[in-house]
Amino acid sequence: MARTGAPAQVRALLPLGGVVGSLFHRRAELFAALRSDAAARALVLRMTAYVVLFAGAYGLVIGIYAGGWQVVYDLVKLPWVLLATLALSAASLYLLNALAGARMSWAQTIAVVLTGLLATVTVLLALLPVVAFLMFSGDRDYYFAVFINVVAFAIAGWCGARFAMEATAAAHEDERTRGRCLAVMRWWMAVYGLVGMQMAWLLRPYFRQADVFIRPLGEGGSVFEALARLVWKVLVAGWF
Amino acid sequence: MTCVRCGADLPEQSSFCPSCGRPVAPDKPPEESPVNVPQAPPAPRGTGLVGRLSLIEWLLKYRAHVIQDIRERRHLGRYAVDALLAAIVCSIFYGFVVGVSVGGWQTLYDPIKLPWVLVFTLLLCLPTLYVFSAYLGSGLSLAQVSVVTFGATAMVSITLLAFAPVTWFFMFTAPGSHHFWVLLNVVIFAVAGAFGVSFLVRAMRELHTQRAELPKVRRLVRWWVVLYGVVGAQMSWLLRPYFTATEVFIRPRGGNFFVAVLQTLAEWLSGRGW
Repeated sequence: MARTGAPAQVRALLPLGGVVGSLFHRRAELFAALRSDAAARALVLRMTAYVVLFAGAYGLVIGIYAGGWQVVYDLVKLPWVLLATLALSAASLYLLNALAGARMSWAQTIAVVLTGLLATVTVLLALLPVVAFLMFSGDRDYYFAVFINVVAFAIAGWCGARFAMEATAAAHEDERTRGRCLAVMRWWMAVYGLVGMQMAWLLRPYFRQADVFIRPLGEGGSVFEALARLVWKVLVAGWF
Repeated sequence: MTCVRCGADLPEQSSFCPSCGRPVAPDKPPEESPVNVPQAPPAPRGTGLVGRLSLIEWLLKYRAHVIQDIRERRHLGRYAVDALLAAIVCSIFYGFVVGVSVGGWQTLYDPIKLPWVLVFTLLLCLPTLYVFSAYLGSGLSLAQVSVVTFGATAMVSITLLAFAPVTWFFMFTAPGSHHFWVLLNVVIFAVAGAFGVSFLVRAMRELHTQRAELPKVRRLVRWWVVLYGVVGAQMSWLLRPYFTATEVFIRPRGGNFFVAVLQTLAEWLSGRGW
């Protein structure tokens, strides 16, 4: 891909009107563009904008369900969780990729992840009508709302992870490097997942009204300790 | 549709297998410039601070080139200084990230302690590696051994630097979770240490290809890593605390790491720790 024409070609690659088509139907072209640094730079901006837009739209609906200021909060929180987690863990992916023998630029590294995130939020948006219908049609049951959203996020996250693996596979031509980078991606997704868990936990609540945007820090350490306490309470303390 | 190599199910329209990465369509567009140009010669590094720190990029992306330079004894002084500089700068930054989260004087102490532990442990263990490799007939000069070990230490620090945002985030958002902090840092240091060892092993292997001493040197490296670990454990024990805010730089001297580990283990087993 020519360096000068990259942004124009990128606009053609991911038009606002046809994100689904170009992301999923013509994925080979998109993945091929990730091999050029200039195209990756242009793609990073565009994909970030789409992730903000799509995740924001999903957050808006959850916010409407929760009501009050939560409309604005959830609108901001959802893109924030996805992108801030990426910002915190991007350096480790850059390092791991370089050690795996891939000479990827920062833009390429981030673009590959953003491809996965964009796939995640696109699938999420596709599930939104069903999720919204189930949330709003019955009684306002908090746990039911949380449950169907967890299911939707699990489905979307699974699709996004697979898509990111495909993008990683396509970004490398050398057979050995590709295999190593796929292994790296698998491990790094665990890092992203752990940081993302803490980030999401930090920004709670999502499904009920709160006066503050986030809770004050120090209300119980990390998400892992909270989970451990929960497991302890359910499995062990419940017996006594 | 299934992958011809690994047999995984392929999604429609996919051009690569998501589980093993084999291209599905054999006709790849040839005009794309690949990311991985095999032996792309890096441009020479500048002499300013930025040029010196660009060794970080070289250690990540052009390791083969660096190791070849060491093998042919080119720019050894330059590599030694730059690797040491990279190791110190990166570990100062990581120490600062930890120190800021702990707060108080530790903000100042941790950035000093971390490079201290890494570099002084190395300096204490370096003569052992040099003399024993010479004894085993490896033929490496002191400068070569120094550069290889400095490079491995730089690799540890660079890995720490890459995980610094993650450490900062977890420590900042889970204030006061002392055990969690320690556990998190143990995991990250283990990963960083593994990358350092992997650099050391690879460099020593490539410096001894086509030499009969290779198996002996490999065994030596293994033992030396254990030695570094033992000395490093005592050194970091000496300089503690790291995760508790204190006014004194180090605790009064007393005990040692290994006795303390045994004591903790004994207390834990006898149930007093609970």
